[in-house]
Amino acid sequence: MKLLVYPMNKSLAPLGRYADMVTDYDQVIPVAPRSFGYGTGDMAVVDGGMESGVNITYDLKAALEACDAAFLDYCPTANLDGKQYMDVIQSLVNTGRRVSISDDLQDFLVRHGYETIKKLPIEILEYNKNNIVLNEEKRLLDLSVPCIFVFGSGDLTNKFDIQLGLRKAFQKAGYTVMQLGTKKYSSLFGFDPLPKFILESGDSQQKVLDFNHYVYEKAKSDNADVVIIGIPGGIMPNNPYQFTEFGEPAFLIGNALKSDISILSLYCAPYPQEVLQYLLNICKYRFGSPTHYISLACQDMMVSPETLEFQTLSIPVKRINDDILPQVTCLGAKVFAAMDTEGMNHVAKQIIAELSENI
Amino acid sequence: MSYIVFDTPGPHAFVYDRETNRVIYISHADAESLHQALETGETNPTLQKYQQKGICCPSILKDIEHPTVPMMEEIASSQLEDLLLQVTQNCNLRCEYCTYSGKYYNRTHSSKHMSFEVASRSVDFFMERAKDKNSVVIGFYGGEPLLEFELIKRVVSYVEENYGEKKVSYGMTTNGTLLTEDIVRFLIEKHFNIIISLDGPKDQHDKYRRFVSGKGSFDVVMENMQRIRTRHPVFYQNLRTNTVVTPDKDMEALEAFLNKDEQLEGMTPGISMLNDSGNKEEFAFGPENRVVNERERAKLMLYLLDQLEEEQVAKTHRRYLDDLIFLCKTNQSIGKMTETAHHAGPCTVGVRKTFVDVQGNIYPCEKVGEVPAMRLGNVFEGFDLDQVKRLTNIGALTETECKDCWALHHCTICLSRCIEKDVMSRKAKLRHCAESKAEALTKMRDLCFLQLEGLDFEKLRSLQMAK
Repeated sequence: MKLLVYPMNKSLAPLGRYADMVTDYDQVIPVAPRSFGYGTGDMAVVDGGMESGVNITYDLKAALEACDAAFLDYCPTANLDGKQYMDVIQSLVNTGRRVSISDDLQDFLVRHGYETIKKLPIEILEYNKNNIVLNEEKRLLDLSVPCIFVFGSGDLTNKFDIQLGLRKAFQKAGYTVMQLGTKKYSSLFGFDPLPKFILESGDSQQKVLDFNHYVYEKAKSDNADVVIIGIPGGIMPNNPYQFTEFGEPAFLIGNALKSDISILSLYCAPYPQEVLQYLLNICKYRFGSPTHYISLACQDMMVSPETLEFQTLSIPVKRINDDILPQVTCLGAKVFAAMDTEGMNHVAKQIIAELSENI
Repeated sequence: MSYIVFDTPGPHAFVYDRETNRVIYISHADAESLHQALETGETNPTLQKYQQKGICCPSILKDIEHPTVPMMEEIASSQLEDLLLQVTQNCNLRCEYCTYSGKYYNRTHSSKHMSFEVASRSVDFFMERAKDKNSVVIGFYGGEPLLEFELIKRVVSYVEENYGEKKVSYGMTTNGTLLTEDIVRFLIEKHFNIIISLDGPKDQHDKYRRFVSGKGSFDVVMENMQRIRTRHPVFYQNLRTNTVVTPDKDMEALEAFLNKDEQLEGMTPGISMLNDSGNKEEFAFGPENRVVNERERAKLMLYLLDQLEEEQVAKTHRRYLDDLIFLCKTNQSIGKMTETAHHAGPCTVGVRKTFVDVQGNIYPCEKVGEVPAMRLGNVFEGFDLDQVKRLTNIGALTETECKDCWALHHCTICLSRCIEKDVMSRKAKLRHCAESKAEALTKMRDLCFLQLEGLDFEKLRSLQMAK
């Protein structure tokens, strides 16, 4: 079974890179318009990781013919209009292919007059709002299994890659994993995305309680050996000129659950030790999550000196391993590159060993 | 030293500390003491008092290096944002001050024009290296770019066919003489941002901007603009004009024309000073120019203090407002100095703008000469990364001076100001240093004055910058 993913970009990259982990499909066809500049090379061009063996194509027509199913997401940075998306969806539906789209794409299409999208036989992937069983207790409940948090300093910090890396390692070691992912398409990997309420407006106290109960119940019902929670967004503001977010979900989740292990994934840079200590202190004291693993993502961040807008810069993992990692040390924390398969596996094994000691 | 003491009108003194990027209101007595410490290079109790609070401390800056240099390979492979194609070196005008007029080193008008092969390869080269950019700009440059209108149309088609999913906006600076109805309709359809070169009222414009025959171009340009105004009023409102200010420019007459001429109402005029980079003749602007600038700056300050209406401020000088807004936004946000830094001002050459000449050679921008010393590679073989780094890292030219300069974060010198006879020159750069420092100090003084007079900085920060 072949899953077409369109339009391939950084935020969908895990679907191409970890095609072997996508459930129900044995092959993923990542399609990126030529305009995206990825060419027809390996997924490494998109996410900066190591060679994956999965190549991108911009031949949408051929991919539509070759696929058995498709996942489409809204790409706000692309110059794709509603008709272009609808044409692809319609041709898939007409030929009996299974289609799933993100709720963002559905919203975009509805906004642009394509109300008909709601009548098509397609699946909508979104943050989880179904089957949420809450406990009646008015106190926070203790998980009886280890819990791992994956924080990031912002979007595109390879948080989801780390979540998948951990999942793979724990499953390989024979453990049952209960996982809540930061991507809406987490279900394609066989686990739920985060519950929607944690990102919606509402009473913070109630959200903390609800999240705690939700994870508690789900870990119990899944008979999980370990819980892995991806923390959406960043942990602090990144741009002094535009206030966008300040790590509210991290604060809520950090108050809802006690993590046994936390990983913080940062935009890539040769951070001085005191900066890393400051960031670890944020995790420890603001989110109650002592953190001993730091990952460097395949993205650097910067604020444009001209427009004062936030920008990211792709950095290949080889460059991180060769030039940046050797410059970064942090007392009491292991620093690694999430997109380096070997490094990620090593960290996952170390975490498993650490948790196995049960101290 | 990495700090400077200054005053503003009235009994107010300030110290600006580069290491913390902070401006602090101080007493006159302290100002005098700090001045003394600066002059003698010796410490005194006042300096010690400030140093104990982390102000005016010795600098920790060790090396001057542009922040993009270490990551240049990655930056140059994903961050390109503005492609400028020199579609022709020919022009139907012979403006006396033009960089192609023969008055500049290594640039003259010629019949050379860009082939479609070079243009399409330039687009491919650019798009392959704009992966991290959500939207990009493609501009057309000359000579007079509209002499190659057919090529421009083909390039736009090529972009639409091959890169339709990328957000692209198009731009062009034209002398305005070839704006036929067909061309205008095309520019409107493709949402071009157009800048028309207009040097002021007829006598001023025609003094320099003449056809090959010697006849002035003012009447033709104004006629075309009037037709656009009548037939395409929305497009017309989005047109911008640019005036090159030459040393002999009658600024009063220019201001009156650009700000009050009925036909130009609603348009955004811009002015740029005559390019001195690579000019064979040295020139200087006279005091008349300075008087007008000072007056308009004063009017702008009064406007910010609600003492004048916006309409009373010359449109041509509103750029200074952008400078103030920018300074206001960025001041105090740099944090502490790092051991390696670079002065403000230069862009990452070839990345911020990718200027491609008719043959496919890449240059930093249209302001520097198309000579081997400025070449960054070509669209067929790629960037010469060492050259990109070298021309970006202009701080290396004046490392000693920069390490000791209080205005490091506020410098406005870019590569185009570091060129003499078409090669990078420390001497040329240092010539602009004093001017850049004076500009920084003026802006700082003005901001301090405005704050003391009650201007709400948050109101200033919330104003939209035009550029």
